[in-house]
Amino acid sequence: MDEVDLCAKCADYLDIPNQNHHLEQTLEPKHVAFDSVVLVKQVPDTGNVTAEAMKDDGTVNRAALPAIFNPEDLHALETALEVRDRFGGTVTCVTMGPPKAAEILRECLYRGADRVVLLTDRRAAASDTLATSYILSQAVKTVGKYDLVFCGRQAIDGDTAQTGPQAAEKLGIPQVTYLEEFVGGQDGKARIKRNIGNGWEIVDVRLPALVTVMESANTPRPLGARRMMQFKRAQVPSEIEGAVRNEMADATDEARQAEVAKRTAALQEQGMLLEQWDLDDINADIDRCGLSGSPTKVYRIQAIVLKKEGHKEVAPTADGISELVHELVVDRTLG
Amino acid sequence: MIEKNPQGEVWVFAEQQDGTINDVALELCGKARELGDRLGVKVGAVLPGAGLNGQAKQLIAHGADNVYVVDNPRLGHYQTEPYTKVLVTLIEKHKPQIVLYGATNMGRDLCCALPRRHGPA
Repeated sequence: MDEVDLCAKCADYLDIPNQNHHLEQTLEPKHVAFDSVVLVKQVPDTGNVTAEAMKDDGTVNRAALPAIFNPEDLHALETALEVRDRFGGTVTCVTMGPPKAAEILRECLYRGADRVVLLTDRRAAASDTLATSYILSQAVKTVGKYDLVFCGRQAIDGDTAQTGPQAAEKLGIPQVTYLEEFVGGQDGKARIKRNIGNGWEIVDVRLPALVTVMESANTPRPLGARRMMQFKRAQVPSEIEGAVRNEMADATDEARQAEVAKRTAALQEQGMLLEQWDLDDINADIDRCGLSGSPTKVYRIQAIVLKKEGHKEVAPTADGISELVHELVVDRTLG
Repeated sequence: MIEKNPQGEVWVFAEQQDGTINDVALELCGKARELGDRLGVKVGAVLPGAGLNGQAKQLIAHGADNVYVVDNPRLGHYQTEPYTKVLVTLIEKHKPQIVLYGATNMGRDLCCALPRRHGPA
């Protein structure tokens, strides 16, 4: 059997003798730039779910809960921004949701995203992971050329962790789940450290690829004060229409339309008009969207509350402790 | 999408690492046993890996009727594509009606590749 070379730096096996397999050392940053798409979601703050939040058909009544940026998507965005800071390229954020979801797109801009897109369409409502991943994959294709698609590992409302990988499957690209660190990249390839449950592994993946990001991967950067000033007035068309409808409730349709056109033109001129797409813009097959495209329906969501049954005193002696430990082991709480 | 097969077995993905089957997979065998008994069908466990020895018996002891062992050096360490290919091939051939995966890192990574090829997860 041939001698196997070990890398001098990490003692890992080398496929080819004398190979330098530490990508970060072979990097020539000026030749590498990655265009990333980040899939982000506005979610109900599920720390506060009550029975009132559930509708009869098994979907969540989002209006009953405060809406936040899905935490792990923030980490995904941070990874994309760090990759851009290190290698160059662009970061485009896409969200699927009601017009209110534009709030998190502005937050993406405040943190440094280059481009944001709202995908909104009533026909997409109540989509399960199958329908959602289909819609998102169509949206990613519509964004254009990309090297990396980032998403949070899972959303705090569904907790499935399926939408990202399912989208990868529909895009026909490889997936790397549970990113802990983006180790390095070069043309057509990325090296990623991922969490495998009881440890980690380092994988090389051909690009384009989809990557899901864990909370432990990084600490999201703070909102940029200057970028907040710059983008706080940015809006999607639906927000403009909604505002005019509220402010000019008694006016005629023509008057409202004229006002919407005026505000839209003004925002566009200032570069503050955010992109908004519907299912037709992304060439989605409507039958695969919304409730009709969703074979799974939520039957029930339960918050498990552990109740204390009583208390037990443990004698502060060696015997007392060892009895306690024994009980915890038998109970499978320990070990 | 494949048609649902009413005689189809209830399957469990028997996740293993270095020859040790994950506890979740063993628990799922118990659940699959319940489902299989209720539906009147058999329980199968799918066990991809390399250098396997004796794990099949453990799965049977925990409730599986059939164990589909796929033993190949390329399956020694989990990767999405080869494991997906194994599952897809077996599912197409034997048409189980339900496949259960543990909600572990591996299970969640693997189960999502299948819906496009077979219908809902």
